[in-house]
Amino acid sequence: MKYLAISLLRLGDILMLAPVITRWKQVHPDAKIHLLIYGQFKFVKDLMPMVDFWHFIDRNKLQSDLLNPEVNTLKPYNDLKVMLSEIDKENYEQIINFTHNSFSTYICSYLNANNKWGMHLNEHGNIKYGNHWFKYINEYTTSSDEGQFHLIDLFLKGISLQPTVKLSSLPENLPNLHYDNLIQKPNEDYICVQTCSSDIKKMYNSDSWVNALQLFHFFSPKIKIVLLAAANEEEFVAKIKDKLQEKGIETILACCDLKNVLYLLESAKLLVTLDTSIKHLAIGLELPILEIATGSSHIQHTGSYNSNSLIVNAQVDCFPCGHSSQCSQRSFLCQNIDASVLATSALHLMNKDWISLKHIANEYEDLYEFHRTIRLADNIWYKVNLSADKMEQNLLNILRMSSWKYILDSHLNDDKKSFYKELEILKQVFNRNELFGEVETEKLLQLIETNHLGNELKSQEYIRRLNASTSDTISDDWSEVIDGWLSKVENEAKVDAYRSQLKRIAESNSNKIVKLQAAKDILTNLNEMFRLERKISESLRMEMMG
Amino acid sequence: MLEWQDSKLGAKVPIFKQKRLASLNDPILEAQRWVQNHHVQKGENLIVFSFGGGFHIEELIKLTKNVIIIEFNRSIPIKTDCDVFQTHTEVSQLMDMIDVSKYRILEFKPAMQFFREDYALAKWNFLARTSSGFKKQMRFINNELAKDFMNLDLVESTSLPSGQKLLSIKDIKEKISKLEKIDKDLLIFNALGELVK
Repeated sequence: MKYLAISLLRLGDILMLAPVITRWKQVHPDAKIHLLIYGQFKFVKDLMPMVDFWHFIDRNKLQSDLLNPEVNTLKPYNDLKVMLSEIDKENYEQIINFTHNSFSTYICSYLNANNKWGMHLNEHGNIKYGNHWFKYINEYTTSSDEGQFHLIDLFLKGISLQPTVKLSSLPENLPNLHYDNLIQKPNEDYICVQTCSSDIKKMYNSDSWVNALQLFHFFSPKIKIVLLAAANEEEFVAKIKDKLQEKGIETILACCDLKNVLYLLESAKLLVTLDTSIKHLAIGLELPILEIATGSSHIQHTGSYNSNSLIVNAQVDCFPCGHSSQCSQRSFLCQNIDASVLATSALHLMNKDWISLKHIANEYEDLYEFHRTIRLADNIWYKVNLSADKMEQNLLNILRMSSWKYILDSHLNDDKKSFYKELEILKQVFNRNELFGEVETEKLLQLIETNHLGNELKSQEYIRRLNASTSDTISDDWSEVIDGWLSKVENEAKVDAYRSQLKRIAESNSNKIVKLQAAKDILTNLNEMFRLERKISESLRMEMMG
Repeated sequence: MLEWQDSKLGAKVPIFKQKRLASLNDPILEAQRWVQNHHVQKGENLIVFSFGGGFHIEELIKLTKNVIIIEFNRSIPIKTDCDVFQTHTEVSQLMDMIDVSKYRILEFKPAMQFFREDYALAKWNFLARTSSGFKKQMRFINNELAKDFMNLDLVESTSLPSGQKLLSIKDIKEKISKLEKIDKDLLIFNALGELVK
């Protein structure tokens, strides 16, 4: 069967598809998978040998032609049409849109296929998703913090595959242009550091880098430091190298393409990186990653996808911000992460010393968050907040993930079977004391059930009130009243997505009847979520009590 | 207002308001170089802005007969077998007759020192960078969709309309949601609109 996958966003998004397509091919070896990306990322071909064929849209050319007064406005139209017609000649049986933006939606809608998954418009112009998981991606992950699932897991679930620990197949014959000397000396261990990001919001101050790497060198003088840089980052990284040199610390500046970076990462002891595509490149390697998350890094969706990596972020209210929004602060508050904290974290992570990392997390819990990446029993990725105070929140998040998995998968499986599968996963989570500490399980579950019962009753009350209302009798502030209630339950169960959906409806131009019906639907969904979580919690508690 | 002056090699060169409309040294060599610089292909469809002394037109038609001339200076006597259009009304009629997007526009700058705004407007129309030019050319692309476009208030400003302004197509988005059956070309316009947001 021939599939077309669409990834029309950034480089990191394309690289996140590597483990998805690898898994796809493991399960369906006969599947022919073609990938449509922007032409500017053509070079990624060499890194993803699992893709059978590539299509490119020359976004830069289309954009410059559209803005160039010397070019006919209809030329980009003709060019894009020709590109899409070429793609259509492949006669795809199924198209999967992994990018939920408007551009990819229109492209996916234009192309012909018997089946489409991911956001697209049907022939009447209505938005369709093809399945529940893709609907979930669009409604609960793109504009809110509700979803706890990693995008890679969501993509896998979206195409009906279960995540696996075997992540990505690396290209064969990785080149080595310049770095053999470094790698072939058996006693010379090294770490790779990606100090630069193309997004200013995702940066970390260059002086702080110097301080952190100086301290790291002080702790581990025998470990070499390799500073990674793309061609356009060389100047920034060279300054860090020079400053370290002034302090008597020799580093290696590796200005190279992604294939060479991958070659370097294969033998490294640790990768320290900002939220860049480099971390997605390292997914398939047995390499711990220290990720410094700043700006618009939505770590729950795009954090380092391997197990036993560490993600650090500053505790500031505005983090994470929107990808396209400007920093709302005078200075980038989220980038204020102490260099000594990073240096010691890097050291402990390299030594796999999670006990020390937990101590650091507890010591700095007011300033920073430290997350350890793990796999749950069904290989779903999760980031455990290492602070002792956050253990209950971790467990609540995992319970929420179980509820969603049950809801979104239940149409595929026997209800009871998937329900008990989730119970089993949760039981194993509760038993992993090395991760979650000594949580008073029974007490916690009872608390969840009591709160959820209260929330169920309250949501039912609002549904009844909306049912009894007409456009004449409903008060104008109905959405504010419900929003006020939801803002209070926020700490107990994340309901951001429901709040933003309600807000969108309240602000829409639809008439009151349509708005009321939509609000009722949202509250019914929320009510169902509370009920399900309470049911899972109850069953789990009963089982654990024997 | 229009006078004639002999070039050094003898060819007569038109002078308008004391400005020469072709080279006074060697207008034929100037025309040959101009054609060469534009890399004109045999049989290519061309719209040429300004007739001037006509030397460049004579060189062009050695390569292609498909030449249309736009000359807004009506004082210039034009002797040629090519079709000539001299007013905006005529230019508009031309756009109703042919798909100008299939033509390349060449500008003979020495003769375009006057009527600059007229040439600019004609060019924007030909390049579908004005609302009217865009709508007219749509007819050759998708006649059904063009009828819908006629009623759309495409964003335009007094400065040079760019693709960005033109494709700020809120109206098109609203339209897409009201269609009984989606027109695939409309999807392409929406996609392009996303690229220039």
